[in-house]
Amino acid sequence: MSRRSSLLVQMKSIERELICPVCKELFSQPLVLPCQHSVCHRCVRELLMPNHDDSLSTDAGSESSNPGSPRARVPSPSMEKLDRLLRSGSISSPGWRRSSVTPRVTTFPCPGCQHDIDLGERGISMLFRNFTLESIVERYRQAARAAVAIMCNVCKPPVQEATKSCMDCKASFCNECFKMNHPWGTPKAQHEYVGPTTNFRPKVLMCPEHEMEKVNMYCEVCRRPVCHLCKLGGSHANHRVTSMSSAYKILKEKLSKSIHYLISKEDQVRTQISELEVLIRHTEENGQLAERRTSEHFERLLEALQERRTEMLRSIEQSRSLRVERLRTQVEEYQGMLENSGLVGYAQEVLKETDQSCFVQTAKLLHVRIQKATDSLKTFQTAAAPSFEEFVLDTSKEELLLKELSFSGVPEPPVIDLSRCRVYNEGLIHWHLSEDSLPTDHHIVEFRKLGSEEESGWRASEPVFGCSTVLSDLSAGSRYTFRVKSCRNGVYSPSSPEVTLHTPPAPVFGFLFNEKCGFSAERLQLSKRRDSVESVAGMSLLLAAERVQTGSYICLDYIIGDTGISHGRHYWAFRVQPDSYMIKVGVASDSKLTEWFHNPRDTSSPRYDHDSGHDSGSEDTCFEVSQPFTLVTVGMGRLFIPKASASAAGDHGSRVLPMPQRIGVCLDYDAGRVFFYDADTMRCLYERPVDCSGTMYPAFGLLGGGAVHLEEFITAKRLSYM
Amino acid sequence: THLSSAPCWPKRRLNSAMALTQVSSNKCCDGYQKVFEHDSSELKCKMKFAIYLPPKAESSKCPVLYWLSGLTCTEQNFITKAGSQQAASEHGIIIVAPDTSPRGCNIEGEDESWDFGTGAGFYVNATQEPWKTNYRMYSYVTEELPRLINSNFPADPEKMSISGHSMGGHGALICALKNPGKYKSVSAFAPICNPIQCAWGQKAFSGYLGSDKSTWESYDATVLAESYSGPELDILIDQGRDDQFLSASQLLPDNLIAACSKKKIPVVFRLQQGYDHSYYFIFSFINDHIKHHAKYLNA
Repeated sequence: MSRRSSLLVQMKSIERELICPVCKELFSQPLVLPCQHSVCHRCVRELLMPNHDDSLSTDAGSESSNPGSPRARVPSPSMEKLDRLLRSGSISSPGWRRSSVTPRVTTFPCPGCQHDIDLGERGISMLFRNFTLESIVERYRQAARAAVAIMCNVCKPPVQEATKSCMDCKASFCNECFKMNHPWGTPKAQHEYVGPTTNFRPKVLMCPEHEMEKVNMYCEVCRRPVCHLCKLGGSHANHRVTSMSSAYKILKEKLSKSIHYLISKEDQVRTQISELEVLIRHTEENGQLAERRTSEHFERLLEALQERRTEMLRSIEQSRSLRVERLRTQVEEYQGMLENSGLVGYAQEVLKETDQSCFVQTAKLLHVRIQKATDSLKTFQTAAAPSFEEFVLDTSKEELLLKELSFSGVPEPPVIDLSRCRVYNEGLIHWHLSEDSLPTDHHIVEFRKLGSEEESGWRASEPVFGCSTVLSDLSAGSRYTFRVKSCRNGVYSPSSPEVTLHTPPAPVFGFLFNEKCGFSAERLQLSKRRDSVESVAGMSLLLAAERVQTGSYICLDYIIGDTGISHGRHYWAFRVQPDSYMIKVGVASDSKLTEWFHNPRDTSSPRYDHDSGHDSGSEDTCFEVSQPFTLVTVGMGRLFIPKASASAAGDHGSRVLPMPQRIGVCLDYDAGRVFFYDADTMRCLYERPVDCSGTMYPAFGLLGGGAVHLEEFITAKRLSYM
Repeated sequence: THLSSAPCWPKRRLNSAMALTQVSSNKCCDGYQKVFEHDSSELKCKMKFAIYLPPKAESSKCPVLYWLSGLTCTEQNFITKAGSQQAASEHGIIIVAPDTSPRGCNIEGEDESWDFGTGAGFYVNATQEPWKTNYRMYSYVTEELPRLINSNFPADPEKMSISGHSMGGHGALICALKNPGKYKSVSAFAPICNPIQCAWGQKAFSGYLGSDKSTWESYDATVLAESYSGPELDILIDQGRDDQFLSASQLLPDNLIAACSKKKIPVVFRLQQGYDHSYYFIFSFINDHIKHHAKYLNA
């Protein structure tokens, strides 16, 4: 195999790595996104500006970007300035052809990994070109083409084939010309060269932010090359950087090691491939065997059917011919009675006999016969009935059986769909069958309580004919494991993988939002069913917004439940919209509420802030106790543990938790304690004492945009079957 | 006064390639033995160096072995007497052999002794007058020369090793010990191992560095070995048993060996029976040394 064609074979197999995820073609001038995936230059532009309306990129464009810099595009300085002015809104020029409908997008999901990529102000020009990938694509293209060999750029005719391409001279040479053009003892002797290529790239990458500096360092935090100015005073000042050569060495070694490892594991991979191939063969064979067996069964059924048909037809045939025979005989007999034919005709001939003794000899017998015939005339009876009612076939039962013919093998186990399961006042379990499995008759759900001394056994539900069921009488504050199995034709599948769910720590407390107490109708919008509330900007604020120059007073709007708690332990759960500004959740005491409304204190003043130094107010011992609300703050996708807890460490990092999808609150009136949970894992995030006086209500305070949805009670749907 | 007659070279930018003029070129062992001349910015005079380019240099970049010669030598002795070209050609190594001191500087007293001044640079950066302007052989060998070679020849800048004989052996050892990681390997023939303890060293150091002995320590291989910390160095030393300077306590290899054992620096020290201090000794074992360096340069 010639060198070129063996290269072709090698290169073909890596084609998959060289395809852009957006345009699905070979990369052309790929750029590296911050998540390390590469995308063609033009594809990034498409992703950023889907309307193509951007006149800014029509000139000095990416098609002919400056080869000296790795940046995607070099806007001229005047254009950059104009760009900035435009964006700040200071210029509104009608003559500027800019799509006013689609604002410039700087965030888009990476086509490779779906991570959101935010390019910021500089946009596409922040990205580095992926020269390595470009070179590989170029080499691939060349191998794939029935390429004309690259010729020496310098030779006088006859021109020789080039053996080297000099990256500094950006030209291709044959051996002789290369030596002549790069004599030892001159700076050209240290030029870098590679195998012959037409793709010349800049030798040294320059920093996109500091154009005159080489990127000779690598920022570990941002994972991109930077220059020493970036490190000194630029955006990477606090980041860990390593020198490019050490980053190169480390990465090269890591890569070599991994490749080495992979190659050394070649045997293992081959073994796995052969295992898979064996599995494929087995699947094919088993499938064919099952087909053959099923066909055989049907063959036998068909044979049996044929046999029965033949037999039954035959018995009909037999009965028919027998009876027809009998009737025909009768016909003949009656035919004989007609004059001049048969018996009558014979009798008439006998009557012509004149000899008396001969006549008597024959006529006697004849007379008996005639007598019989005349007798039978009197009592006419057909020799056989024509009906075949006895031979009517009812195959409806058999047809039904055949239609319901199904495999009696072991069904496949179902899979519990955790995302649709929920435990609240009762347990709702959802499952589904795997894609290619045959329908089953019914399902059984089994569950058992975990932990504690009594390792209870599995309890089974009634047969369920749908794909979900509600389980009642689960004890509170426990963990239960659930599993489902299918049944078909009396045969049960193996159980589904088990799923463990937590039950609420206390009996579930049902309530809706109270539309009366402290409710600001302008800013809080209740749903019709009063099970969710949304905090919106008030109309009065919006109407007066013309006068708003710097800011405006926004207040915290409170709303409480319509039912209260006066004893015992109760639990409720709700969802806070993830992008809600700020919502405080917890409980409120009605007796203190009335007192508070009449005499509110401005707790945002420094008097109450421990850290302000002016916190004389926080010394008020009765301050804490008089607070009607006991709340925890959530906002912008996070949950904030209150500062004053004695166990909290100094730094705020441990106080900020990601906001759970569902939040649960448990109030123990008698013990005077309130607990806040992540309702999915039932992990207690925070607890504190609360002074329960009067009736305690679930309470919410909303500020800015946001919404709270109360968790729905699970109701078992009772269906009746005939 | 003598300074005024020394040519004053304008300060050049660090990364401008110095102009090299080829003095001679001879094909040898399929490669080329060349001599070049250039204006040195460290030494402020014209300097020659010898460079052997193996056949491999025609098709790819090669590692470089720096050879430092001993007292009274120029760039010629090594390339004509040591027979290093065969092994260099086989292993694909470039060998650069600079001169042993600045020349033609017209400094008073530079030609008075054979073991101080011209031909006896001792590979230090002098701090004393009248030597300090020109006698900066340490910087020349560790900085200017490699820069020159890397910019003008197909040299692999990451692959450098150093070796030498006698005073050059001292130079090789101190360059390697003072620049951990810069040289992939180091070797020496009959090196001056502990100059502050021997007559040669004391004469040279007091002349170049002054009377404060603490300034001498940073140019003494034994002292440097005692405080060395860096990547592992693999040192090969050949010493002729019948070397007159060994018996004259000028070389003191035992002190270096002791310091290296204490610091666990691997040293292979071979005492060669019957051999003296001459280039015949070097010729006999140069192949071993080049093979030693090739192990690391061609890795």
